[in-house]
Amino acid sequence: MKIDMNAKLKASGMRSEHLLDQFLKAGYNPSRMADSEDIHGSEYPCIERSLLFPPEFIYGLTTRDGSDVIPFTSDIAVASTTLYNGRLIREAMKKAALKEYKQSCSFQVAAVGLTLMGRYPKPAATCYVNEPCMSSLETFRTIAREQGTPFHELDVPRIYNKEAAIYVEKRLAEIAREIERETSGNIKMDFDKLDQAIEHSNQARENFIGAFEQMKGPGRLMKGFENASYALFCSQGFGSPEFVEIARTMKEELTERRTYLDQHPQEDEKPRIMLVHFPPYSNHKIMKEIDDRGDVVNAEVNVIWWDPIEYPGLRGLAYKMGALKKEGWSIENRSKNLHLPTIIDYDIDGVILFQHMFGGICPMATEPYNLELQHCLEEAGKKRGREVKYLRLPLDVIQGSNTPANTETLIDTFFEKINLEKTGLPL
Amino acid sequence: MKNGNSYLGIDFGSKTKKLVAIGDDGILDTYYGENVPGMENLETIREFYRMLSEKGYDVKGSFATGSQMNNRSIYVEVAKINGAPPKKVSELMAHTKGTEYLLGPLDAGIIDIGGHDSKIIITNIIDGKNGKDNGKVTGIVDYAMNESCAATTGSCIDEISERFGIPIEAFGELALKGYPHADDSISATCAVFLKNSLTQRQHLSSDALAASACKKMAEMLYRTFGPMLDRYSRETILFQGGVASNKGMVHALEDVLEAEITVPHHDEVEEINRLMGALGAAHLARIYSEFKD
Repeated sequence: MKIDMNAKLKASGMRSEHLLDQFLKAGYNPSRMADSEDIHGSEYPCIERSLLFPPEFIYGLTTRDGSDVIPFTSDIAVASTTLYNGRLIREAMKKAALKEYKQSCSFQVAAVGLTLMGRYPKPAATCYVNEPCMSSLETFRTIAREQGTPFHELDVPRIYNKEAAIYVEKRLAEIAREIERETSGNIKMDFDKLDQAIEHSNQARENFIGAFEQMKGPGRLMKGFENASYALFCSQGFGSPEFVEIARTMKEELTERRTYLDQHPQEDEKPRIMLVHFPPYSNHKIMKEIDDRGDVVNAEVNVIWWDPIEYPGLRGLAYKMGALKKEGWSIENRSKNLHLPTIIDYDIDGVILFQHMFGGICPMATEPYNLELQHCLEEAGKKRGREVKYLRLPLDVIQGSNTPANTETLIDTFFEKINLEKTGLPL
Repeated sequence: MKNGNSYLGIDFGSKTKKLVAIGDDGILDTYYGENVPGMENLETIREFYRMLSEKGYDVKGSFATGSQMNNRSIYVEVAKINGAPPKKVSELMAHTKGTEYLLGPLDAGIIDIGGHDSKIIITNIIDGKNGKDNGKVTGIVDYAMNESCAATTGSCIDEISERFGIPIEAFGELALKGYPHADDSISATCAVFLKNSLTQRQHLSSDALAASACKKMAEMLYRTFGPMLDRYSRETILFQGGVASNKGMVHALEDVLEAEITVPHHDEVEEINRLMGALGAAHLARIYSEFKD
């Protein structure tokens, strides 16, 4: 008897994804946005972080009365708001355009617009890590200036060695002291709490790695939409106890599903897909189309680059930052050290690049990335003796560009092409 | 009297609907017509089934393609007529399989200009299933579609034809005749600017206007698809879809691409270039009937 694993997945959903959703909503409450002043749903003070600033640092902070401090990640908040309240994002983009702030990444334009509308949370401070994105530094500065909040820049050298780690550790310590001074001692680093956050981060890391290992086997354990929604590489969850629970639950349920699939092999294997550069909360319709036609077994946004954090305190975070900087943001390293082995380990048939155009200016989204990826797929194909199919979807989840009809046709053809070569028939 | 099995391909596009029935020995019947509002569209399909049945053919399998197949209510109605939901296949795969049916497996570049979009498909010969040609089939190496602009679609020619009162049936012949007088200074940025530029040149004769429109459309098509054609350098370049019946457009593409363009031909089926998607769908219906069960 053929067992419809897709129906089973649909019926059961992901417990860990539900927990993740609750966790995110505790930080940002998009459903409240229509009638609340800002999108920060927590009663605790928040620190705004750019995508790579270590969240463990923020979980290590404490207030005078012993409360937690919550990390707030701009890009995730904007993506989340797009999902739940697209009208607000459209208004925000119009507002930003009125100030001539439009020729930039759509995530950043939306964040600036929300700030100008008074709908962006006012953090106690903004912590920024230098990124390849040329405009994000100025965007974060603009937001901080508009809100009158302190701005801290963490400069992580691209060369990853002991000296770089010592420098980053020193800079993190300075930022902690500056935040304490700026808040008149209300927010300060608690080093015991920081060590606990590092412990939580390591536990979550280990469980997530164990969970995603399960995806290497045949069949699909979770839908592509669920997979992409974790966005681990930039997640603000690492360091919180909730994230350990989410990761443990995910490992348990994917292990259960692996056991089930191993006992009930599927008759019709669908093409195995790796999603590259898929941001969380990407277009539902597109993700559904992909999920209907193939099995998404790997999403690049869930890559965990860093080793377990071995050192306590800020030194440990400094080493994590070095690894992220060196591997995570380097297109060449990402291609060589991540995409190539993943294609082979996960037996990938096709790669879909969600080329989020970010206003057409982002080097991560435009042609250098596209070309590097094509080169990598060629290498992977040669290495394993079977071509890796490639589909580039130039889209923008915030602004929307290509017509949906074209995109559907491009996706359908991609899967038909893979099927034709694998089975001799396109469907 | 039973005559045998038939396999049906339905291509329900944005502007036209096309039907092709094939049997074991070739094409049995075809239909091409403009879309009309309401259920009359579906009546055509129903009539086609009736005709096949009257001629003694059982419809053993059917495949559907075209943008209207994404319209759920139309798809459901087609499924009712068909007795079961037809399998859906993308227009790009349908066109690829149409050429496979007509010309056998081949390495080619296929340009299709439809009512609301345009496509390029680069094909190769791969192992597959089709019951002939020693298991060789036409595969897809690469493909692309136009983006938002209407300038490289059939609708652009329709608009220009209407605006300047040039009958669409005569457009191609006129363009071919007027090609040496095509105005190169016309804007080729997008469909709207093209139309505006032509409006400013009403001193031109109808044939020069038609030729200018075709040349500029070919240039815009080259901007979108030229790099892909150049990258794969296929000797055979096929031009399919309704616009391929426009001789002026064929000539303009040959001029701009500096290549020979082949428009698919069939001795018994008039303008088969318009039916290639439906033909490919019918071909797939037959292949699936042979191999899937």
